[in-house]
Amino acid sequence: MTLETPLNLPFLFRRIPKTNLTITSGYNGAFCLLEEESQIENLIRNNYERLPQDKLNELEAKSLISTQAEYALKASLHASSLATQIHRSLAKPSLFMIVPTLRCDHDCRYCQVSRAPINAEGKDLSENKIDNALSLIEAASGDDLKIEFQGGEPLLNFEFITEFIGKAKIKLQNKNVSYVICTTLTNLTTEIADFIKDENIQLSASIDGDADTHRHNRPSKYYDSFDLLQEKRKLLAEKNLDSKTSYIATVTRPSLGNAQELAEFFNSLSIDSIFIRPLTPLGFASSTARSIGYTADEYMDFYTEFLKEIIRINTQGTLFVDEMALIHLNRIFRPGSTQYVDMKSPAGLVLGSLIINYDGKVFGSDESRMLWEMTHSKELIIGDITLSSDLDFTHIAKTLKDSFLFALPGCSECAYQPYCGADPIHHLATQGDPIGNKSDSFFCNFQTLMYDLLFTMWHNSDDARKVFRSWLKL
Amino acid sequence: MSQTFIKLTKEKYSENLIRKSLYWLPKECPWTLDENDANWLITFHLGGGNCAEQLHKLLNDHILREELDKQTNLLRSEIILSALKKVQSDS
Repeated sequence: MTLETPLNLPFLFRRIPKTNLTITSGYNGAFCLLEEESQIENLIRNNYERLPQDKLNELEAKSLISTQAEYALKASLHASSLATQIHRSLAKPSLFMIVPTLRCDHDCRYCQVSRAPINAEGKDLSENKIDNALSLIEAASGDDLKIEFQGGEPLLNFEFITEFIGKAKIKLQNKNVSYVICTTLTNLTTEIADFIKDENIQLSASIDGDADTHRHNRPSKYYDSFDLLQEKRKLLAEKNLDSKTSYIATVTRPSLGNAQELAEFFNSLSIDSIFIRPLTPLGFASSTARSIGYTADEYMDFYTEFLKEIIRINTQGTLFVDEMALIHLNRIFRPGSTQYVDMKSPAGLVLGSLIINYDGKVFGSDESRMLWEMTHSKELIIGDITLSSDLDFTHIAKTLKDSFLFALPGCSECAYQPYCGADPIHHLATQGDPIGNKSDSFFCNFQTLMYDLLFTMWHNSDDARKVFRSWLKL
Repeated sequence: MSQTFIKLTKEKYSENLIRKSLYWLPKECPWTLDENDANWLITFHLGGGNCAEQLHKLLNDHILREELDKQTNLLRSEIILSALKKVQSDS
């Protein structure tokens, strides 16, 4: 690099707030962190002699700048990388969600449109719709797919699940299918546990924190939701289903000051990972939002402390993975390794997932389903298995065409574009427009602050870098 | 609270650059954009704060992005065209 003047290849940059770091990233997903504020100016103004030699070497090695001799070759590598990304993003959906029932025995504070009373009628997906559902899945999927039962509480319609899986074994016999049940666990019985074990089903169970937190967020009219959850966890242990169960936690405002305690609580459960997430703005009333909601900045202040505690736990010898951080780290370090629906460009809507609701209507994502429950906007519906197994993409295509990050205002120049995704339904729900104003978007603020945090920790903390490497198996 | 006015020359700042910078100002900095023949006229309605400072930082970074865009625009077109050809030939 010292013999000739380099040339800049296309890259994006962002100054990370409250640090001197500037992140630069390329089409190929490679990144380089510049440590001094003046370095990005010198780089772009071609004052390469003012940059440290090791930084120039790193930029060149990551194809963010190039010698003139290698310019065409590196441009070709960028094109190949972009082609791979386009191919990957246009693959068939791999996640198929099914809502066997909207009925639920919990009254979770952040879930008001995705549940019906436990004895409500007309809120179950009928077994006679299974053939159409499977025909749809067979036609829409590739070789590998995941079928996820959601709710309501799906175990309240367990008969549907058993019959569905029985028929799927025949209809989808040439595909590699895995199953997940998203559940509160409170309706788990010995019979259900045996079925789950025999059919090699994964469980995704909700636990929002210690007894007070869980009872506050996820109350039930019928029992103490925390005590019963703990009882059912014992049943899982007896049936050796611990390794088949992952846990998900939703954070509400009262937990924001308890990051460290929350991390310690999850670690005390002897589980090896937790998926902790902010509230989705869909699904509950604005009056509720005032008591349990928060800004992205407030959430990330909490999450920063939470992640620091998780890293401290890991450095003491316990492998305990923060799944939300790992999804983002995978997007940075192992592009293509995760098909997380929220992180796709074009959006994961339809291209990443499909959901069949309890009434047979088909949507492109869980958020679409929730928005439909709130608005009954017909444009969100892409099919109805009570009528046929065909899908109609007329309206959704209009939304998808505006979800390529490289062409979106606010995203086109963002350094996190190679790692991020578009969420048109979030912006449709919160701002009335699928593109949305990113400067006022919870989704954008959350993703941006998340990457700011992870890149800063990666650069500044030896402990964090070591833990992240162990999670990534690098 | 008094308003703050900023005048920026059209010769130096494109409309695109001005609007991209204003886009990222926080809610605490409500603004309006006006113009005359030679200048962009920006008003911060709540005055005070560091809205003007934040705008200048954003303008500086967008000027850098414009400069990088000039250097790499042609190459980016070639990369995208080449990528699309690869996608077409692979499918």
